[in-house]
Amino acid sequence: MASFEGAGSLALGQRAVGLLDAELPRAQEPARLEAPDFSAVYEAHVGRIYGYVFSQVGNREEAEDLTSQIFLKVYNSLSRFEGRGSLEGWLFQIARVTVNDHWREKYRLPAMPLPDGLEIVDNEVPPDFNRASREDRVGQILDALPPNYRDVLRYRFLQRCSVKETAAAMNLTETNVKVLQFRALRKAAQVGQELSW
Amino acid sequence: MTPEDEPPMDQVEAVDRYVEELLRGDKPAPVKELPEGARASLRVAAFLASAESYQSQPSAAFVERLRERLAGDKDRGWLGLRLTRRGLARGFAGGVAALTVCLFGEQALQRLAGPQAPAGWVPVAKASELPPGTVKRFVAGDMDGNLMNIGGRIWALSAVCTHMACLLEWEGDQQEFVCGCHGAEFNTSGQQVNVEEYNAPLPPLARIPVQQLNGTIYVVTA
Repeated sequence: MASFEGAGSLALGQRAVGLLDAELPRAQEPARLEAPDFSAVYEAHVGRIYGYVFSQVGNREEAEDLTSQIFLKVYNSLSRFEGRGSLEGWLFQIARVTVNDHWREKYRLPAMPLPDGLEIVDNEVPPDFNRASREDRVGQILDALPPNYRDVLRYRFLQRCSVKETAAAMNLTETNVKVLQFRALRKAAQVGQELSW
Repeated sequence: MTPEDEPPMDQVEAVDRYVEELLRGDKPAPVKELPEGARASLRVAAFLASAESYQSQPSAAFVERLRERLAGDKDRGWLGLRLTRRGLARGFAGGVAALTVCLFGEQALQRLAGPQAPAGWVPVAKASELPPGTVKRFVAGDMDGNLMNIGGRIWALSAVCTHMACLLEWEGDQQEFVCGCHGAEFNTSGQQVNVEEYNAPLPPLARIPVQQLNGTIYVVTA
């Protein structure tokens, strides 16, 4: 008897909910999103997240390490993604925090602010870290430097010249190249902090 | 360059060592005891070093390793599946966990007619024809694909561009698949590289389950 009543009230309950749903204007329905499928999130974003991390650490081993950490965090918190803002923005926030933590723990460096206009807020699409935009940002930093600083960094980082080759090209001693590189990087870090990347 | 702001040579050398390691593509050894300004140089050096690096896309091997790790059970990973009745039976008994990331392979296997699935695998190349670092086109039924050997791991992707279904060409210099029709570029993980040239990123290239048995490489034709 009890089970019969239970079944009856359940059916009634379902009907009632159905009616209520039909009568509610759509706009008032709570905006609920299913937690996204993790494998789809992984396949769609692993390339881009790795690309961002790589741009921040400059080597494969650390980039792979941090990318793994980021996706493990995402894996553990995907159910908490509430569908506010873009999934990419949320992923990217996790990536950014992870990268900043890495530099803070390793070298006690402050977090890198995002470039102007690229703050991640709810619906904002995260900045693009593909190769072309990275090159743009590198260009901005180099352009803001005095010519000899710019040259030494161009030879070393963009043309991948050795210290010896750079010395020959710039008509300097190898020690001079290293000192110039040291100063140029220190200045670039200041410029970078202002421009962000 | 006045003598008083001459930086200490040990710092200069330490930063240069860091740069050298980055430019070689290595993980730099930690640099100790630098003042803050010089420590910030390391981060900007990493950024500059990333600009022209060939490693700015994840390797297919890494993407797969992480996929397996996230799936949590290496044996369930589709590359871990054995091409045997027992392996397949185990795959079915275990079902496909909702969070198994290795979906393509397992689903493709499930679509096949039960434990006699090996019938759905077709040989496409001899393993000896695909040494590490090489790419080889294949056609199996109406499927066009590319086999890759990345550091000893065999991997296959559809050779059909996800834009307008043109066939992709392998560009060895760029290590990318390039579409002759509209120029879409995909890396060896199947992710589009030149996203900025399209209104929206193109879907990744479909992965094709692949197995190696007795020196022969098989793919699934679903």
